[in-house]
Amino acid sequence: MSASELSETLDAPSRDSVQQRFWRRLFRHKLGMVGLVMLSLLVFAAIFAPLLAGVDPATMDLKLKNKPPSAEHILGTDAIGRDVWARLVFGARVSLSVGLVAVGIYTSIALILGSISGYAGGQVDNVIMRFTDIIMCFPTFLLIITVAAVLPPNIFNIMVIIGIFGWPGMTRLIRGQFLSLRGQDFVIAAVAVGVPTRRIIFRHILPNVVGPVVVAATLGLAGAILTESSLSFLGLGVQQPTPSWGQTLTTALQLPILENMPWRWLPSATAIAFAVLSMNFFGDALRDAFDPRQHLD
Amino acid sequence: MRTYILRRLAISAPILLGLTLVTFIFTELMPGDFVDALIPPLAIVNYTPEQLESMRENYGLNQPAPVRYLIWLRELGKGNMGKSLISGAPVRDEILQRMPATLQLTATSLLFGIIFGAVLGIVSAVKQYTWIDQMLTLLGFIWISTPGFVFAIGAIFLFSLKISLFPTSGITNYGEEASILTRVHHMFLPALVLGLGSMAGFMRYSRSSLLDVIRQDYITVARAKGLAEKAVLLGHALRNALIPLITIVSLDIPFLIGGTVIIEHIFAWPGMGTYSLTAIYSRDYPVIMGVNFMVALVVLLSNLLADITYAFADPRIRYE
Repeated sequence: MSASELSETLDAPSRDSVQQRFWRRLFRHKLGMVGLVMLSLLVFAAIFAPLLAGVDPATMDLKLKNKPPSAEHILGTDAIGRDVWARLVFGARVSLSVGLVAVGIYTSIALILGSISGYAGGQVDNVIMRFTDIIMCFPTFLLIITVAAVLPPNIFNIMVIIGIFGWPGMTRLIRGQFLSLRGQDFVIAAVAVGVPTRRIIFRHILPNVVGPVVVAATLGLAGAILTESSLSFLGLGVQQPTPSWGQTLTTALQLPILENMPWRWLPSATAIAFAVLSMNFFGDALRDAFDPRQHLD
Repeated sequence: MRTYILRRLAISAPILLGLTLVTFIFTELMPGDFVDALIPPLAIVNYTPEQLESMRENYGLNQPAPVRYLIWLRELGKGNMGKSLISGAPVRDEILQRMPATLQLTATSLLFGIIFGAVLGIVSAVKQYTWIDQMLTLLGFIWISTPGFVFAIGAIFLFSLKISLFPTSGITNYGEEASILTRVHHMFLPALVLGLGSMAGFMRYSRSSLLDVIRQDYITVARAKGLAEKAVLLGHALRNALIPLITIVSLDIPFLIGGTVIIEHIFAWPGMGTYSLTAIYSRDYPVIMGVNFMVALVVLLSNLLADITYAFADPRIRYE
């Protein structure tokens, strides 16, 4: 029996590739697919916001203040007569873009620090990890609001601030992956036959780290959106007239609005939970699909 | 055990020093200083550069950064965290005054989160794949995905405005002697809202931890020797399944504190969260530094405590 025949026999029950199995597990995940649909709706809303909104989210109509939902304004209007639906739809743009850029920033930082730390080991690893420990003692949110209060609150700064404080968890994850892969036979073999370090990192180790990083980034996206909405809620995030879900919710702190004008806060509250939920669902499905052993249940 | 504790302490010492340095650097990196914050933007033209300079000198803002760091560190060692630039009162006193309210709130919600999280997690694991399990899984996702302030707004809407069950803000009724009952009454909503987020995590974790333990050989042995399922679960599985929760709880503390800032703000709870937010809005640097440092210290200590508790609960850790 030749080697190829042998391997075919061994693989007989499931001949499909690792990728195929990954996609199958992913698409079989019910909550994950619900999340994917929800996420697609959000992305669709963000891309086609001007079409969906119909009107400009910043246009005021002082004759139409605090009007409940009607045929013309399906979610009513706010205190200065702006269309709530339009602000909601444009808010998706803000949330998603802040989330994507912030997670992109800290994933890059974490990839650099984590791979150096995990691959180099020794003193370098020690220094980077102790620094990570120190930063992790500070509640990220407290650091973020500290800096957000001082920098001019615009959408760009918010992205950067969330981005620069998000890296510690991801760094630990990537470092751990590097550390364990570094000790595996295929990497040791590659080192032994003289494969250059660069190639070992990019060709042999990094592809194996992609899975956990994608999962962490998806869940991180949910976290970043939460943070952005919290910041905007405190008035430290995205500023008027740019619409943001968290910022809209600030008005719900006024009890008469909270009690009598649910159309002014309920849509945004739902949208935040909807967005975060969709990413958590999908992230969970990705995790199961990448590594079914991780979840024993 | 003693060597283990000593080793943990030795690791924590440099981290403590790092905390002070990072706190200081963060504050240094911020543009503008107190003098800028003190003068309204339009009034700044009324001041000559010399006047501004002498104001900075008065507040000790003209020293080089390393000198200010060392001075700050020395004073910190004596328990002096400086004075608030706004109220003029010592930061330490102001923090100590507000700490109990925050501790009360966070401890209650943590306790609530741990107890309900663990119980629901156990139920979920025991009833794995039943509708209860699936419903709890879904609820867990929703709890984790909904930010505290959204819960808070919803809770105030439902339980304070629609049905007047709980007060919307404060720690006690205005001008009234705070009895235990009014305090609990006031604390109910904020603690509930704060606890829900942590609870979901604890629930998911204790579920998968218990499912993990149930598959171990010693559980099979316990069943094989004829123990009742209840005895297997309570006497053998549960203890070991809940030990890792110690770590999860300690990891949750920074997030809990982060959440406290917003929840205290919404419920006008007179604690550290409200205090730090006010300081941040008015660029009260000594207060920001003090609060950030104190909070980081609490996190460091709780991590240490968690490690030591873990070693007590699980002897294997000590001999690593």
